[in-house]
Parts: sequence; structure tokens; C-alpha cells
Amino acid sequence: MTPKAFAIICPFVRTALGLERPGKRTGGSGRGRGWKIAESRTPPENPGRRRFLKFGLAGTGLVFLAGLWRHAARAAQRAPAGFRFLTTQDRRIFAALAPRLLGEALPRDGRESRIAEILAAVDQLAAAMPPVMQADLRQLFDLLGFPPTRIALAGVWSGWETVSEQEVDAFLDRWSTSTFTLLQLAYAALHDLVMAAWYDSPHAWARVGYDGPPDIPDAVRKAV
Amino acid sequence: MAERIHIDAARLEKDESFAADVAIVGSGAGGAVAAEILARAGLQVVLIEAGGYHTAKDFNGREGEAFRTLYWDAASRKTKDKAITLLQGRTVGGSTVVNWTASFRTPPETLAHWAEAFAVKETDAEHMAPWFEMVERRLSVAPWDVPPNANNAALGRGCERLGWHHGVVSRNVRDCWDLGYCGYGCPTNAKQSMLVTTIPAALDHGAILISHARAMTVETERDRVTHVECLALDSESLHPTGRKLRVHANHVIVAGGGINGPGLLLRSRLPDPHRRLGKRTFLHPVNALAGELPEKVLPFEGAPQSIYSDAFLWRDGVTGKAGYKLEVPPLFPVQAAIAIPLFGDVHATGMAALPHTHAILALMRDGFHPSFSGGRVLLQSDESPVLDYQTNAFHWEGFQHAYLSMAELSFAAGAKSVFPVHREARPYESWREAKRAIKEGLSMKPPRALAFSAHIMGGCAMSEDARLGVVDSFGRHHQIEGLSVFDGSLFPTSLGVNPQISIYALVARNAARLAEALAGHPVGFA
Repeated sequence: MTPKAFAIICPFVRTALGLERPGKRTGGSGRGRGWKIAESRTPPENPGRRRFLKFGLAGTGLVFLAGLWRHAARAAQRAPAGFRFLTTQDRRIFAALAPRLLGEALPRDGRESRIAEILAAVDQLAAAMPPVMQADLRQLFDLLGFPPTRIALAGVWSGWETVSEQEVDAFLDRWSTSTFTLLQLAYAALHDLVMAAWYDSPHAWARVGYDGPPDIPDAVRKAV
Repeated sequence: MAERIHIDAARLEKDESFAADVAIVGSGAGGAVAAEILARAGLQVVLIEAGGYHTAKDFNGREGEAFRTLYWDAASRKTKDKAITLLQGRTVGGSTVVNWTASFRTPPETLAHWAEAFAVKETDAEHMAPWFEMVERRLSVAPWDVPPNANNAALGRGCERLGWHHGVVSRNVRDCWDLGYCGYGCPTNAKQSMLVTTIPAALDHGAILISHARAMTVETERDRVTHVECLALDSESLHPTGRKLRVHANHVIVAGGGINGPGLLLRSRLPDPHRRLGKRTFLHPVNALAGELPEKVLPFEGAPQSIYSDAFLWRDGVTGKAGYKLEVPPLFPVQAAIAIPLFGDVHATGMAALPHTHAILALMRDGFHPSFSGGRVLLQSDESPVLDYQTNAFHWEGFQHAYLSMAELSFAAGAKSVFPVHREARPYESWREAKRAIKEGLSMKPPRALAFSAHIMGGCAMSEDARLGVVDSFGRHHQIEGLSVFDGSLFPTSLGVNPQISIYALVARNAARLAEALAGHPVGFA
């Protein structure tokens, strides 16, 4: 993609990742569970708002479409049983990304179960984040899942179920080295979720020489 | 001894209200020290904590679980621009439950600067000495007399060879097993965190602990505090359950730490005529470097911080270019994997070298140089607080200088290759190659260099001059009667050392003074 095209899309991404966010959030599991105790007496400070009004309208439209698409394709887009945050579509994204992020650290043997464990751990971590951060993740995952934005922003032409290793590597490379801070940060979010999910697993430890936490007798581990 | 009262707000089935002499918001280094001193004075204390009551029997050393249960935002809290990761404890005992036990007194240079530049009184090294002694005795602070682990030994060895200053870290531990799991909650109760010292003592003296309760506002009437409004949270401290708690009090102490404390006061819309609230928030921004040694390091084993270097802490005077303290972080698998920003086989190769990897961090003294006046706490659209902290040329000169020092040090310690924790970095196999990359290759701007902070300070600065601070030198709010701030958000600048001892000592002094005023007789720790 040309720098010019990126420059046009960049404001979309800004809004999408919540750095300049509309006053009212679209979708997201954080809705209605925020910090508000009562109507605020003065509006909270939001220096990003003016910039949003200037650049972000088209971006909101795109995020809105991506959100709408998620809601429209209900069956595939709901969090499946046992999951609190990741939708079926999100799971496809992470199932494609995890092996390429982890490289040879992910063993060939039992790969499918390992990936299933990673998805469960990513879900657990995302579910432990506060509503504002969850809304950012929701928008990022929706943009990666919605085919037009997947192609425009991530440069990934194939669907996540059929995407090639080369295409994923090229995508990770593009975002991690992008001159756009927002894409770098989006890469970092995906990277950190998968790394935290995998390296917290005892399956990952032998390869990095870690024996895991020591066993401490219950007699020692007591409340004071 | 009173029967201990702990109320888990997550389990409340109806709204509740409490009456107290003193309501304290936050049970970390500030709130818990205040709770013990005030409870010993015979005052009815209610201690409000957003996190859960997790103890040694819950601490299983698993990184992911510890991040989710013991840290704010699952250890993923970030500055507004998402460039700096912020580690803050969210559990009964606050960050003292998850810190790495490094215990330093506030540098005399820092205290002198506060008196000179911020009109802080009676807080110089001489006035503070008895309070430092008192908290050090109470929390068993002593120089670590066990040989350092290989990770810390590498820092000492590198400094030795280069002729740089280095010293032994004091730690707040008793009968420590030298395991290394300080950051995930001490499983043997060796760490003298608030969880095993001041909080049990406060409860034994009749204080009431409320966990899983988020203080939303401090309410006032005619510029005097009346009560604190709280929301009960679910067992993950994430979502309100719908139950409300109201704590009536003659005096309210805000001790939620940087970001959260200023956030509470911002939500309360209290008078702030000089617009100081939330301003001058400092982080000790940290950048880091890893080196691969020929021998095994096992950087996840043993006391995490035992050797430090102040070779560069005051390199250009108190208010000159960024000075930094060199220390060592432990490296556990999840932490290490996140710190390597690469992906694929190159990431996997870096991780496979973990047993041979040592690491160094540089903790930057921010808030002294005139070009940077600190970050600012803002409220987001849902009223949760966020820190807007924008690095400038001051930081980037400092980060670059620190990367260079750390690379030189790592090679001096015997490293075969070094990896500056930076998004554009690769492992470098010689000092010359590393030097060239750091000076010419790596762009010095966020979020290219990965930066972290576990020391969120300021935002409710103390000063005798109401134009310079939110509270006076003893933590009393300039505009509101019956309101104090007792935690790291008091500091007018950062410190130049890990903050726990500074918070304990300052708050012990302030709380003793407050207890005397409220109870009418002098008090202290037992």
C-alpha cells in the first residue's frame, strides 16, 4: 500500500484503536458497565475530541460497519461456549497469528490442542481488562475480521482460515515496522496477548529452561 | 485485640453504609501505614480497597494469574499514548504485595530540591531520619547479605570492571527463601509487605477492611468532607455489582497511588483553584537491555534486586540531563516474551536463550529538569482515570545514554551479545556494533523504545504554596477540611530511588501528626 493510501486510512485506525474516540462508543462488551456513578457535573476532559471531529467521521463509519458486520453474522461472531471475550471470528484470527508470532517455540506435536489453549488464555486475559481497554481490543479485532478493513489495513487478502504463512508474516512485518505508530501499537497488542498466553503455559517452559514455580508447603503459605 | 473485620464487597447483597473517624482509600504503602497508626491511636478506621484480599495461600507463582488478580488492568495499564506500560498493584496491600523489595531512603538531594523549588517544609534528610529508621525497623529492612543471584552479580561485575559505582540493595524481608517470586506475591510471607505487617496490625486494632470496593467520589459540604461514595465490584474487581457503599468519616485519606488517587479527586470535582490536581505526575520511566552470557544465569531465580549502581544518577547535577539508577529486573517467561518485540523464529531463539540471559534496567529521574513538567491525569469518557505522559527530548537523550551505558556494562560483564529492548533492535555482538546501532540506528521516540514504569508518583503534589501543590507538606488538602493525601502522589518530583521507603516514612510522619490531632495524644508504631 502506498504511503498516501495509508495516510488516508490512518485517521480511521486512530479512531478504531480508540486513541481518538468518539464521545459515544459503538458496541464493545464494556457498554453500560463503566465507572459512572451518576451524571457528571462537568464533562470529563477529552482533548482528542476536536481532532476526532476533524478527521474521524469516516473512521467511525468504518468501525461502525465492522461492528455491524459482526452483529449481522451472529452465529460466527458470538463468543462461543466457554469464551467470555473472543468471538468465533476472533479465534480464527488468533489461530492464524499465534503460530507465526511464536515461530519454532510452538511445537509441531499436539499443535491443535496447544493453539486451543492459547485461544483460551488470550480470552481469559482480555476478559480481565477494564471496559475501556476491551473496547479498544474489540475495535481492533473487528477491523481485522471485517474483510474490507482486513484487506485495506492489514493487507491480508485471504480469509483468516485460509491465509498462508507468508501472508501472515508479511502482515506482522508490515505492522511491526510501520511508520504509523497506531499500527505498531496494534501489532504490540496482538504480540503481547499471544506471548502472554503461550509463555504462561507449562508446555512452553522446558524450551526456555524454566522449571516453573516451586512447591511451597501449605504450612508456610498461610494468611497472616 | 479486636476480632478482625474484613468485608468483601463483591458478596454484598444490599447497599451498606459505615461510620468512621477516618476513611482511607487504598491499602498500599500509604493507606496501610496510615491505617495502623490511626487504629493504634484508638480511632475507628475504614480501609477501602478496589482489589481482592489475596494472601500467601493464593500466591502460586503463576505469572498470568498474578497479573490478572494482583495488578491494575492485568498488568497492561498504559499511558494515554500507549507508549509506556504501567505496573501497579491492585490487591489488599497494593503494590507492596508485588514489588521487588528494593528499599532505599529518599536521596537527600531530592529532599533538598523539594524544599528549594516546591516550598516543602520539615521534610529534609535530618527531619526525616527518625521516620526512615522507624519504618526500616518495622519492616525489617536490611542490606541483602546473601550472595546476589547471577543476574545481579552480572551488574556488579560489569560495574567493577568499568570502575563504576555499585552497591548492595537493602530489602524488606524476614527469613527470605531467596526464591525470586516477589513480583507475584511472596508465597512464604518473607516479604514484609503491608499484607503481613500494617494491615493485620490495623485490623487487630479495630480497623475495618473493605475489599472489592471502588471509591468513586469524596463528598463534601461547605468545603468539609462528609463521606466517600463507593461501588461494590465483582470478584475480579472489574465490573460494579450494583451495590453501593457509603463511608461517613470525619477525615478522609486518599491513598490510591498515582493515577487512581488523582482520578478519585478529579471525579469528586473538588476545588482546584490553581489547577494543580493530576499535574506533575512522574514515572521513573524505565528502559532496559538484555545480554547473553556464556554461563547460566537463570534470571528467574533468587532475590530479584540485590545490586544497583548510581554511577549515572546525578550525572549532570540535580536539574541537568536525565540521571538514572541502574538496577536489575528478574526475567520470567511471560515478561521476557513481551519484552522481545520481535516475532517468529527470531523471537523463539531469543526465548531459548533465557537461561543465559541477564538484564539491566535504567530508572530515569523525571521531574527535576525544567523542560518537563510531568504527565497529567485525565478522566476518560467512562470516568476512569488515564495518564497523559508525553516524553520529550529530555527523555530521549536519557534513554539513549542509558542504552549505551547498559550495553557497555553488559559486555564488560562478559556478554556475547546484547539486545536493547527496542522495536528496531537486533542482537549486537560487539560493543562497537551496539554503540553504533544505539547512536545511529535506533530511533529515540515512543513507542519504538519499550518503556515501563512501576513507580507512579505525583499528581497531588505537596507544597506550602497552594499555587504549587494540592496539599501542604503534611499531606493536608489546601482547600478542603478533613481531607489528606497520603501516598506517592504527594511527591513534587520523582525520587531517583524505588519509592516504597519514601512513602512509608512520609506517611508514618503525616499519619502520626494526624492521629495526634484527631485523638489528642501522641502515637506511632508499637
